[in-house]
Amino acid sequence: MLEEYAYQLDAITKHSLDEEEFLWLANTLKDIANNAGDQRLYIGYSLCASKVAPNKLRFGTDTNKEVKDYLLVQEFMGSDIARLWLLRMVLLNDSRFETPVRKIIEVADRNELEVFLKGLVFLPEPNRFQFAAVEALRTNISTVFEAISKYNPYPAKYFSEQQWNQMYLKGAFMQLDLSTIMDIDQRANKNLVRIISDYARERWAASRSIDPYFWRPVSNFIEGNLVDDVRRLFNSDDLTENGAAALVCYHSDLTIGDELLKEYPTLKLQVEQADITWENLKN
Amino acid sequence: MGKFKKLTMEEKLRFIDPHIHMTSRTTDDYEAMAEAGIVAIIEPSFWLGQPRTQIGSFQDYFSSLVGWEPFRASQFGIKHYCTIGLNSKEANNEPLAEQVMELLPLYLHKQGVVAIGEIGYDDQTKAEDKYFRAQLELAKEYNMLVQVHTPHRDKKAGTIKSMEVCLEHGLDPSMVIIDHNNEETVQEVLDRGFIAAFTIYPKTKMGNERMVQVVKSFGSTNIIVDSSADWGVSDPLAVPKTAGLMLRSGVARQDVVKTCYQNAFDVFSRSGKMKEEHWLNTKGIDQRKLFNDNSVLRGQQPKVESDKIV
Repeated sequence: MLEEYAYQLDAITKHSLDEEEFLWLANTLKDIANNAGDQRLYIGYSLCASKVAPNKLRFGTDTNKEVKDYLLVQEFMGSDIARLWLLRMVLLNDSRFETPVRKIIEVADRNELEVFLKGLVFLPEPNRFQFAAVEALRTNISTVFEAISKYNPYPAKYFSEQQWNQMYLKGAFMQLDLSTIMDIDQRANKNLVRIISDYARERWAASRSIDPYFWRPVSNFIEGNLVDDVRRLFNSDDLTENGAAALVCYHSDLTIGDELLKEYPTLKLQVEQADITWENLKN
Repeated sequence: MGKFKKLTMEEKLRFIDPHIHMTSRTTDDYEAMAEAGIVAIIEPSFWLGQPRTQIGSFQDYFSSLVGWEPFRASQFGIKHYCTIGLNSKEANNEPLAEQVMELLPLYLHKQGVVAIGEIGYDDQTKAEDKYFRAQLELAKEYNMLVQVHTPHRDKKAGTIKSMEVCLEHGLDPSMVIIDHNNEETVQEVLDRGFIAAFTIYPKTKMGNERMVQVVKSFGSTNIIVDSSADWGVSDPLAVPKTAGLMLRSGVARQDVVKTCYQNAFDVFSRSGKMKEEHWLNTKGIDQRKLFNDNSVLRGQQPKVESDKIV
């Protein structure tokens, strides 16, 4: 969805930058287009941080709400939107820029990489840069990991099952707020559910807790070990775990979901009435 | 150590170490540095103990100076900046040096890069001279500060030569930090309007008792203390320890502040990239906000400050 409105970046960038800043940016773009070689692109991209102030974005009345919300939740500032716009424009201009953009990612500093990852969906044919998104899953730098995993629609749309599972597990491992991962229901899969169960059992064996939200993907895969896991959640002293169990069953298409939930009529009522939802679970 | 810590904490002193190679240091050092009051550091590009042979090694090293290392430092509440450049030793591999010169502009404008450095002479060869000058030209082109490494052998002549070459290329001396000074070099450096940094070494070269004398003799204007702690025998707490010694030896507090914090800030903030707000007025670091396990923290008790205690 966001990708459809990527063109709005133009207007948002113009609105958000001061006249002088935008002039510099536009001239930089012209410079890049008119000159052979890639140095100007590399330097221009880096200079955005000092030439454009990290001011709040400004939006026109016709900005798509989803785009606006996304840019705000990702805390994009003027300098960030300038960087993203620059990349978008060069890639739209000429496909040959794919190579130097790859180089930019390669030599990116932390902030540059984070802006790139957060803004990936706004770039033309973003799947070309899959390698960068997947590489970000292996990082030790938490903010870089969050840049691809939090609020970002890219993984749900473009990651393979293995990559998705890798991200989800690592997010749990890092105690990330899993409710910030988008489209969890859509990407639920059997392998992931097995991983979830195994990881939970590992944690329980060490007398450690798991984020109850972690269980969200298991709804349509309640079988084998998962039945015992869900029962354990229902019987836990932790109300959020009870709630998680109820939600998992309520959203399940399987008969076992109904059967388990029936045993807990209070919880059943609460999820039916939306007193307990995945959104409010941890409140 | 306890007595010194109490002294500096009572004095509420903050420190900047503008020359320290954290790539070579463990998190034990970061912990100790943070506790000792170091709020910001600058890590110069340098060689790693044995020569690099591939351009990729330089690229990945530079990338770590603007990526992983600043993150690692931030987990201990320390703000990390760097200088980027081709160091004097590795300038001697000319084919490789040429490639490094091509690579430098990709990094110089990044947010954490406060200067070109540490560059200069090691053995004072022709190749070292060539690439020193080439980087001075870059500094001029991009209006950047320069951090100069002076030779440990034939130091006085090498230091003077470094400065003369800077002036020959039209650099403003107040934008150039001449490092690794000693009693023999400092006067010339100050007289010519350059910034004089002193590296405090544990055993040989400049020690902290001699540093106290330097400040007593030459004052605190344009004088900076640093540790250059690296992969060899060195002390990452050299700056706070020297500050403590200065105070106990009767050096005025304001001179300690200048040499161990203010002068470094004043000169490197001219890059536009180093700002006090990066470490002042921040909420106390909460390491619990940062992730465990797959980070530099592994099962430690997180060090949490909700309000800074001074």
